[in-house]
Amino acid sequence: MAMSILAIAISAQLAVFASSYASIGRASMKGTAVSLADKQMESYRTLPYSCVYLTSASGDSAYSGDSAYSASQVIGSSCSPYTTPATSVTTASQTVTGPDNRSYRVDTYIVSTTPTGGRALKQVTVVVRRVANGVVGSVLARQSSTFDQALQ
Amino acid sequence: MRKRVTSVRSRISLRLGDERGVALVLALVIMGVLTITVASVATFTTSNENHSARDRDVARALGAAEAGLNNGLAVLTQQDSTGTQPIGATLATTSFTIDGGSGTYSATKNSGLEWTISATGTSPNGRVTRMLELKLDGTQSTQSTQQSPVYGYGFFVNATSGCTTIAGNSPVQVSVFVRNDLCLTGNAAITQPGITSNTLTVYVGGRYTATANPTVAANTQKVANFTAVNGCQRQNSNVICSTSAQSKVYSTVYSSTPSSVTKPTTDAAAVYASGDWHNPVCSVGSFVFDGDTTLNGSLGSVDLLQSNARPSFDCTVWNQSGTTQIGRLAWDVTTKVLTISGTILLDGGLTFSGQSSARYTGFGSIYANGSVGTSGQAAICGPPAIPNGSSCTGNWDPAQGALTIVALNGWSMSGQSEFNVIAFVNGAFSATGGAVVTGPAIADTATLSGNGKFATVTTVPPGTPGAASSVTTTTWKVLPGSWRQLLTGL
Repeated sequence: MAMSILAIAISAQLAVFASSYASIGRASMKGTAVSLADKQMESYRTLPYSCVYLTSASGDSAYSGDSAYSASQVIGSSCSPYTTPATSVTTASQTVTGPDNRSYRVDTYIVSTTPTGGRALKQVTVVVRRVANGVVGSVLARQSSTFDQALQ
Repeated sequence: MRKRVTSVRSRISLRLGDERGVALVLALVIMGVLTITVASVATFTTSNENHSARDRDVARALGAAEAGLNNGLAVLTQQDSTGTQPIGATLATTSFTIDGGSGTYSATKNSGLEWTISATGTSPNGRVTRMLELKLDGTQSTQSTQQSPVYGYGFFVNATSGCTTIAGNSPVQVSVFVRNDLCLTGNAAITQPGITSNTLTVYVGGRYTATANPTVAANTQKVANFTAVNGCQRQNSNVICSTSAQSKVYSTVYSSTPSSVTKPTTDAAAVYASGDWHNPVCSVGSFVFDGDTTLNGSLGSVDLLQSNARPSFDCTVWNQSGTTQIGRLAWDVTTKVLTISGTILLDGGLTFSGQSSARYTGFGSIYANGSVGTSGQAAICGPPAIPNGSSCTGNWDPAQGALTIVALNGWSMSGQSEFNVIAFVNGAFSATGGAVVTGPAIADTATLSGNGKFATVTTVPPGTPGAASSVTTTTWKVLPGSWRQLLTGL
């Protein structure tokens, strides 16, 4: 009787532990993904307005299937007289290694948008996706903001 | 009694020595411990999940709030582009959505060139809200453009080929600038006015040609400067300009150096786009400036005064948003006074039928999308002159009031008439018979015969092509160090 009770209790405990482990792992990955999205977004905040662009708007089906995707994104190749920005901020889709040594896909979308009565803005959306065994998985984190010329 | 006590003790010892059922107790104890452990782990895991989710929500709310600030910047830099909105002006709270999140932004002007923008951002699930604020700082720079030098000449012709002909017996008594050849015929003359000397300039971008017996100035009253880039010809013979006895050109200085001065350009489309010409606001009567909403000459030709029979009107044209006055034109049939201010555009030509006789007040320009002309007796007199039949009594003082008539397709006057206006003509300017334009005449080509009587104007009225202008540009930038996050309840 006692053994049965113990067996049930320990099984349940193991199940909870396993579930918790997985949950903590997911939370950790999402936390890392948020950090990566933050880092990417902050990179754009350091750039002159004219340097906020992508060199190419193409990507795989995961990239083009996102709600932030638009065929007419802000494309550029340089932003004279400023220094050409790093490829990490002009690449639409890139796989990076997070601080937890896991792989993440960082997708960036830049489109032009104009608020009513205002001038054109650049709307940047960063989407971080899970990569497991080379396969792009679900969205872990996303951030979106706009950029005006007066910021730089 | 002692025996009974001993018996109880032995029974207790036996019970305590019996281990049956202990396993169950232990199992229950261990289960309790495990339950507490599981509950702790579950609580920790749930808390971790909640924190992780909140981190994501915070990041998205912050991104939305940042977007709100930028939306505010984008709107303010347009709506207060000149920095002229008053202190205390506000930008009403405006809502927006971004990537599933939402937010609002608003702004208040703190000082002449400083706005404070506030924005909120809310995560897509509505659980986290962030509030941000920053200051927008403006700097102003002014760029001034000088008045075109063409208005320093009473008669300016822009064509670089052909010949500008001046005929008739009345002398032209203003500075003359023609970029092509200048042909004086008959007894035509360019002379210093009154008893003056050395006040006029004559520039000929091509060749100065004199047939019959014309002259430029006189030996006792010379012009200040005479330039003929391609030399002089008199009575079909080439002559040296500076040899007055041959050329009959009397000048203190002779030159053949080309000038780069050209006629200012007109931008009729921009003038048309500047105002809502189809919907003027009239406090008295009515007037049609535009027959439709396209710059297409919809009015044909407008007889402005209708031989002084046009009913009174007082109409103002505003810009498309109704915030800035572009021009005002008024006519009082009782006093025969035309009032002008700013820029007026007529989507058609402009005529002054016979007996149109008026004086005007104010400073302004009338663009006629067609030709300008008069064939009868008419007088448009500038202050303080007053009309007297087909002429003006008294001398027009452009400092008291000035009117520019911009003819977008030629200007033709014949018969007795006097206009105290500045004539700016795209195409040909023709004044024959007793027709007189008293202000400068600026045209592409020109023919004068009769009373050539022009005057220079020191400062041309607003709206005139090539008028002096001053443009103040306001550049808005975020005030460094002004970004801050405000406390919110969530």
